[in-house]
Amino acid sequence: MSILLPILLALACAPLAYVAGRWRTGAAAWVGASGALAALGVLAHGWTQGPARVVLPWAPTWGLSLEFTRDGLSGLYAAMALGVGALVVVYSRAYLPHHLAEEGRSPREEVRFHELLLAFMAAMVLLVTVDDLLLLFVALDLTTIVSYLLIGFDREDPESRAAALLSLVLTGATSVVFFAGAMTLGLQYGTFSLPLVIERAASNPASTGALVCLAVGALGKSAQVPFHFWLPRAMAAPTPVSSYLHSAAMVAAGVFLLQRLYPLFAPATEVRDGLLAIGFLSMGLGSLMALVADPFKRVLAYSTIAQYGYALVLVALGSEGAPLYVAIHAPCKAALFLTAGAVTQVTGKKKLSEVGGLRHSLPVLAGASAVAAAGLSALPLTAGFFKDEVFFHALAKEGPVVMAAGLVGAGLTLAYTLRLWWGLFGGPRRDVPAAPRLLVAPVVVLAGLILLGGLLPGLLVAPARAAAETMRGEPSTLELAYHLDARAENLLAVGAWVLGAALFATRRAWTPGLSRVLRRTALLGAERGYRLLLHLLDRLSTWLHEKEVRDLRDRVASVLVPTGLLGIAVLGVTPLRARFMVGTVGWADVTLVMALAFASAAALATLRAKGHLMLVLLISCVGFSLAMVFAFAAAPDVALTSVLVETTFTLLFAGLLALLPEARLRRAQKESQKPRGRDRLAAGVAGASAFLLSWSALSHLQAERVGQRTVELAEAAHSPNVVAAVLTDFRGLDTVGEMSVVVAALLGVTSLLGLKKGRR
Amino acid sequence: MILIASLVVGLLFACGVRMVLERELVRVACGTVLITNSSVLLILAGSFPVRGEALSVQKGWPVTDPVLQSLALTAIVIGFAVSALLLTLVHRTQRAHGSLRTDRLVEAELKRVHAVEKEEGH
Repeated sequence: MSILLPILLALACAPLAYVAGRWRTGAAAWVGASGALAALGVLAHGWTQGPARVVLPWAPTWGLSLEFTRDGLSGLYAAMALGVGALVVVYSRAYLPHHLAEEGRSPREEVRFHELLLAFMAAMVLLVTVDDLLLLFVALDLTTIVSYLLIGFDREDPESRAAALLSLVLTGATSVVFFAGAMTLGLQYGTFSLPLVIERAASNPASTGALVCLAVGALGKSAQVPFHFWLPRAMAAPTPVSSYLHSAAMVAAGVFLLQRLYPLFAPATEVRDGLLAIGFLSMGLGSLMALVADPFKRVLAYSTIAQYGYALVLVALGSEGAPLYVAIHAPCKAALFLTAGAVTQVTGKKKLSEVGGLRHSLPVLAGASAVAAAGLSALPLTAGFFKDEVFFHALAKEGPVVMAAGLVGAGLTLAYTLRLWWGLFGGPRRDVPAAPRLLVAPVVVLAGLILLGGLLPGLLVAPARAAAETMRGEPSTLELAYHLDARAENLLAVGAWVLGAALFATRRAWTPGLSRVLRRTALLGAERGYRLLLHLLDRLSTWLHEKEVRDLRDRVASVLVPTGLLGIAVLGVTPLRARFMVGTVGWADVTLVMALAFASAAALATLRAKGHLMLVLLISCVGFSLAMVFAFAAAPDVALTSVLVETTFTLLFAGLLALLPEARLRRAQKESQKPRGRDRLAAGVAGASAFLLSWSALSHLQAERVGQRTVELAEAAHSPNVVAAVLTDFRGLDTVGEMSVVVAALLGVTSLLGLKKGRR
Repeated sequence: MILIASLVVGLLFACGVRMVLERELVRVACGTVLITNSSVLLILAGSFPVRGEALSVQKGWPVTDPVLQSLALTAIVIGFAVSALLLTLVHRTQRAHGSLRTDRLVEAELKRVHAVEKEEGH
């Protein structure tokens, strides 16, 4: 139960915020944040009791169950989602009223925002605590859907809507690929339960295809190359969304998945090599873009791409520091995003070139964000130092090339972080009104945490080790401490700082050239490919729609003809012995055959019928002939019903003809053109296919019939009429369904006839 | 007998398709009625080879397959309900658009779609 309690609390936050918001708009945020903190408290308490699992039966016959786990990985990520979530909700309490007023929307909508944010938090907690492949996918899609609503929160803004759609399409499509991978694994191992899958994978490694599918899902979520471009666009969202989704939650989900499934990836070195390359690529690309981007939220977005590239490298190398890296990055990035939002709210500006010199007016914010920036660029005395230490530690084992790449990446990180902070707070003094305290407080809290982790690294060891143990399935020996010696990690860190400082000092020299180069390469980038694909799909769909809607006849024929051809093709390839049987015609069948001939003749005659009344009469002639067939075929119930229905139908049809204007009927009759050749062809193909399929079916009737059993059972049903017994006793549910169809159709008929003339 | 029954099924189906492909809505509705008829016939044709009594069974007598009969009954009733709905729809469409021809209706629909698109474009 103690496993489920934090999950249930997290799930309850959004409804509680709704209820509180009904009472008073401002209360929603406080109730939601306290709910999140309560969940965090319960989680921390459960943490002291060690790992545990709980399995609730869901659909046991299909081998499905709801499985939740409490282990190092889920604890770390859930704490991150809940803690940052609570702070962001408090921050939005101060941010949203101003934002909504600027957009000209009702202040009541703030409640909706808190609900969505808390719902996202719940989805995230669910994602990290489930222990089942299918549930992983479900939670993953929940985060996708809620993030769509959050990114598109400013629904009047077309850019915001487009960004939301882009993120939905990309992360949704890649999570479908993830689903394919999960299904493949489920089929391979005969279970979706994650511990069982991992246990069976030890002796029977997972197929490369499945692993690639899982990795694609994770890469899309974590905004890695080539799916990275949705993240900068998503910056159109209100800043609290960016600071939550794009630091601690949504983007972390992808890397989390890879860590959760790491035991499957461990033996597949080629897949991990691919991930390593993608990680380095994302690092480089994200860092370079962050160096030249002007809107400061974009700088942070590109930095996120780069930082999750680091995390991906760590996972690909199987480093035990991977979970710690993500956990330390989250508060740094969230604090910087919150700073960006506060600056935008105070100054109304969104670009680095438009602000600067704010350190005098916003001293607390400047100080706190300096700590966060130092954490992001891994300076000592902040927790961030250790994220780069584990990174360099992992690289040091891999040889000089990888080490050099890591050094350049870390140097770029320092350079763009310096550029960002200096762009906001450095430079000539500029005076602006003070920021509301509630906007600054969460940044200060996060900065305090970052400092605490840097001063007392021992606090980080236990959760980091627990998470690493869950990820790699073996005891972890992770150590975090400052060492004042010339080990490779320290040399790399110093090298990175020197490189970063040098890059920052000489930035005026290379910025224009770099931005020009990046703009050129963007022409070949993945985003362009995506747009081209979208454009082509759009054109194809328009073309098909125009083609299809142009003529109802083509629409019908385009369904019937391929289906008919498919039926014939199926007959061609199915090996059935004695496929077609002619059957015998005895004297008793003569009446039957005559009635059938009559029906056929009437049906053929309808094709040539001139007037509408004639048409109706011929149609009912077909129906009555068939009733006759049923009577001769010793099916009196069917025959009786048929006669009754035909009579009613003929009357109804005649009534309709009376309702339709005479002139229009005559004109329609005159205008209906001669049949086109291809209509005849379509009818021929469809008819031939129907004929062949029914012939084949009727030739293969089983001697053993269900009917014989029902005849025996009819006695138990106390019904001398077996058909009635079947309808009411044996297939009662069918009859209920039939009744509902009839009732629905009759309701439709009466409401359609009852509509006033001229109304549509 | 098998061949004859399936021939008639195919013929009814073909005639139905031919009518559905007409331009005029009344005929389209008639076509669906024919297609329904052909499928009812197909269901019941399964009982043609072994025919017997349906009511008041005595032990040992041959019996027409009751399951097929009840399925056919269901099909007839549902077919009737749907055809009735279709006929009413024909009536409504005629009132709303003033035409019984499918191509006219499509023209009207396309015109409306283009108008909506134009509005969105502005």
